[in-house]
Amino acid sequence: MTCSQFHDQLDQYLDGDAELEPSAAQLKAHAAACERCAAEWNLALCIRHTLGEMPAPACPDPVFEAALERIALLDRNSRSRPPVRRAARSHRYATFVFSSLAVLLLAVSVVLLRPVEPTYSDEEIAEARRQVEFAFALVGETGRSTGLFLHDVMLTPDEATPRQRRLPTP
Amino acid sequence: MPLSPPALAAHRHHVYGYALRLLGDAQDAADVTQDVLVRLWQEGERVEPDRRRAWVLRVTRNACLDALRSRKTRRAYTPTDAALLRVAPCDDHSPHLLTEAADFRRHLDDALARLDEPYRSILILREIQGLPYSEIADALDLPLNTLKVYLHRGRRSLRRTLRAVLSPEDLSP
Repeated sequence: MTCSQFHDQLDQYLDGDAELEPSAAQLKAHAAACERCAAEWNLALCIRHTLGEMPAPACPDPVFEAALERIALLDRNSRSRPPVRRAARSHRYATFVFSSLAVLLLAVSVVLLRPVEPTYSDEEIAEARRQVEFAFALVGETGRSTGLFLHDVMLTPDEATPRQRRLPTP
Repeated sequence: MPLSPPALAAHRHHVYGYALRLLGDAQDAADVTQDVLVRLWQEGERVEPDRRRAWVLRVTRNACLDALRSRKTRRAYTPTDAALLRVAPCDDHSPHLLTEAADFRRHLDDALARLDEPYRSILILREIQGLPYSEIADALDLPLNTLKVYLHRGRRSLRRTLRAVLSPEDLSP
């Protein structure tokens, strides 16, 4: 075993990996023959031993009690929070109710205020028809007696009658 | 249902010991311990019981790193608390050997304190607190193989630092 291999396997040996157990004898044999690696071996074992024996400081009771006091205070605060939650809930409920009422009012307004189609009785329609027929007859009679046509006297030259618009242009 | 005081007490020593090692100051460690225990009370129920210790250690480490960042003395760390420098009971009561052991421990403490993260945390959790690899990997959010590589690097770094400060006679077997 070379010094390089020794250094590579030393930490694996310190991990106590069972698969590397057969190499422990080789490590020891190399350390016995090499003073520098023996010192490294000794130092590694000393570090491990000393770290393992280092005191793990216990948490002092006052520290733990102070933490429990903070927790108790937080707990009390969280328990005294329900009235606030109730107030928040009632506020949300009121908002919901007022919003619903507003939407309902808007819907009713839309229904009530929409433009309504006028309705006429049959008599009114017949009377209107008679008046229109009379107007047409009057216009026709006036045209025949005077020799004037309606579009000649009422329309400007730029305007076209619907009949003219339908005619194909030559 | 928040955790009960006995469930919190089960973690207090791990938290305080780890925080004291990372911060080197008993008052800072006490502050971090309280914060972590309060957070454990608030959120611990959402963590699986098997992974709760790793979660607690992760929260502790983050709180300590925040505290160190705010102190801006991370690199100037020196263990100031007597609990860290206390000499463990030794079978051999020879004054000379006790002094040597105390010196070695002081150098080791100093070398450990000067290690960068996450090497320092890995060595503290593995070599001092004796936690299993899987739990440390979970706490530090590292793959298992990476954790082992970092552990080896941390050990080598410790040896390198100690070789530089110890005399050859101290290192001889």
